[in-house]
Amino acid sequence: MNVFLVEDSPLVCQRLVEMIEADGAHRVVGQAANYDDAVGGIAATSPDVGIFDIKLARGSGIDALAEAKRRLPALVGIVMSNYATPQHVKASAEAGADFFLDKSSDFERITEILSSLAGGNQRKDAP
Amino acid sequence: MATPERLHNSASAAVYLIGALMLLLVASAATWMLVRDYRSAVQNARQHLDNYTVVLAEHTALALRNAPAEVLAAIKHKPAEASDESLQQYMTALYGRLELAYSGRVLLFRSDGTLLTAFPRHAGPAGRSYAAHPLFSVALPRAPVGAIESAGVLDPGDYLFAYRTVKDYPLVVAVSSSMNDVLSVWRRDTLIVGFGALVLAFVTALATFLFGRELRRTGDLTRELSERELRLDSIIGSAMDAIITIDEKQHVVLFNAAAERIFGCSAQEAIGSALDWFIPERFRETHAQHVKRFGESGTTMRRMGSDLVLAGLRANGEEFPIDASISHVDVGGRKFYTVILRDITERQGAAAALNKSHQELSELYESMHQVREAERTRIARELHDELAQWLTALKMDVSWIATRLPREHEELIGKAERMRSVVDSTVAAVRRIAADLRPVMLDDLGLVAALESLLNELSTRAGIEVSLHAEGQELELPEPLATAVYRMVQEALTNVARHARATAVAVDVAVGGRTLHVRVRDNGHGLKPDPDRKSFGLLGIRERARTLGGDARIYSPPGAGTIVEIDIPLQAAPAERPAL
Repeated sequence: MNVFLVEDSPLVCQRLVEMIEADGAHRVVGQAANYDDAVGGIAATSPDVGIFDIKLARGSGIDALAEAKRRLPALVGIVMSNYATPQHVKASAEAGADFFLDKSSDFERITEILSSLAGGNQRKDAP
Repeated sequence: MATPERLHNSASAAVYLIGALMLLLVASAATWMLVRDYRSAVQNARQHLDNYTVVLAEHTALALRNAPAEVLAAIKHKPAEASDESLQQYMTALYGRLELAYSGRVLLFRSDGTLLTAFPRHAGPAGRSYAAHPLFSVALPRAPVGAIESAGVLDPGDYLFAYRTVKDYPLVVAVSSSMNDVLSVWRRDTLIVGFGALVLAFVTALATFLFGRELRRTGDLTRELSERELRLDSIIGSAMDAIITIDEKQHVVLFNAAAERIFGCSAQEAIGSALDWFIPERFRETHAQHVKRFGESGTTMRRMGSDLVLAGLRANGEEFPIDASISHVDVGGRKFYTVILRDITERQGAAAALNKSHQELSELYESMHQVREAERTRIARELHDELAQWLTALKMDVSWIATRLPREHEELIGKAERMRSVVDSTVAAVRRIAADLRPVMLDDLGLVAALESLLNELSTRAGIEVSLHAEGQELELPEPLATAVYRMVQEALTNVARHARATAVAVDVAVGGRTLHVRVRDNGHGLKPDPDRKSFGLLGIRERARTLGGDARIYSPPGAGTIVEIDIPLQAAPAERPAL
């Protein structure tokens, strides 16, 4: 699966890349730390999955997701954030997110989700 | 000094004096009349009786010339020890013929005082001597003809006697008339005159008394009036406010000391001049109309210019703001208006200073809020975006190590697990601390989501049933408005949780026109009117709403909990202040 990472923390970003590409089945095709780069990057790389942090250096990951989904409706959106309140979940769902993960406790589910997506089993996990 | 009081006192004294004099005059006149009438009555009677004696004396002498001897003898016979019947008969016949039209009695004496006969005849003893009677003891020795008032000869009572000796005979003829008869007319007149005088005296006395009393009363009233005038003068004179009375032509008739001081114009100059002197030119026309209209209206007193600032004009041309009330009164068909006013230059200055100070305080308050808010936001962001990211990275590393540890190193695996859970707890703590500092959600998701979160948290923590009703997409409020509204609602909810003992709370947010309406309503026991316990939270809501150009009302309808209503104009929200 081609994955696009929208994350403004290099520390986290680096580890996510390691985690996603660990078994070689998935590939990170691009990274962005702000809204504009995210929207532009996704449009340019057409990934299968986008992983969005909410709080970006400039702009909001949720807005970026909404915009990316508008341009690339097939994109599977995963919102992964340290802001894990019901309001954020709701806002993410409204923006078209398919999955919502609490960054510090649910990050390990990413590989699991990607694998199930790759297996053609496009079952939408409830967040 | 001829005070009105003295004047009235002397006037009433004069009235009493005149009254007494009039009484004296009436009494003297009556007395004089009565004495005069008495004298003339007696004089007339004397004259009458005297005339009779002339006739009687002549006829007696004439008759005796032809009288029988025994009659003459009887005259000379002396003393007359018994009544001489012949003489008596003779004389009676004579006097009877004379048709004496008189009510009195005719008496014929011998010169020695012996009564010879009486006509009309009297049963009493003729021949008795009356030498001791004043007629003989007093009158006759003095003159052969005359009159005397004396006791009666045959009858009791006072009598008037006229007497005359009979020529050629030693006889004295006397005619008597009872004083009662003589004075009967006079007595009747006396009664009338006396009664008349009495009535006159009574009327005079009464009139004097009434007039005097009236004067005294007027004097009292005048004194009271002058005292009141003095009191009033001193009140008006010492009043701190200017008091100006004008007549219907708007000319000044009263101008007190305070008015002199305030307008810088002496009362002497002011009185008689037009009121326009004291009003700035641009107000004169409207002012005159207002006064006239006020005079025609039913009200007699009111505050002037309650909706506009009034101004006065000092003698030196300086204008100054005033606060004034006006009253009008009709005196004898003329209208007078009294204006009481004070110079409020200082008060206005003080009010402006107070306003300014309040404004500055408000600004400071709001600015403090913003500074604090900015600080909190920064710290919350740091916590969330830096610390939490690092913790996440840390946790990822721990997880990475844990999954790569050989299965047999159970101890290490356990340690890694414990590290993960420590990191989890730390993340949770960081999130909680950050959220308490500042609802970052407000920036990311807007006011409604932030309020929702706030309500959810209240519901979880305090077990209160919550509801949020937010209208419109227009709730994308600019900062600092969104934060202010969030904080106000938060404060209201804190109050609900702490004091209201409510089981339900509803928050409504709506935009109507250009105003944001926020309402927080609970079903608790309402505000307690406790002046000692100030709720700084609720005060803060009000203050914050005012700073934003709006208003907050906090009230408790009976039995309906507490309602906090906040209205904020969306246009008037102040622009972001420059950072301090």
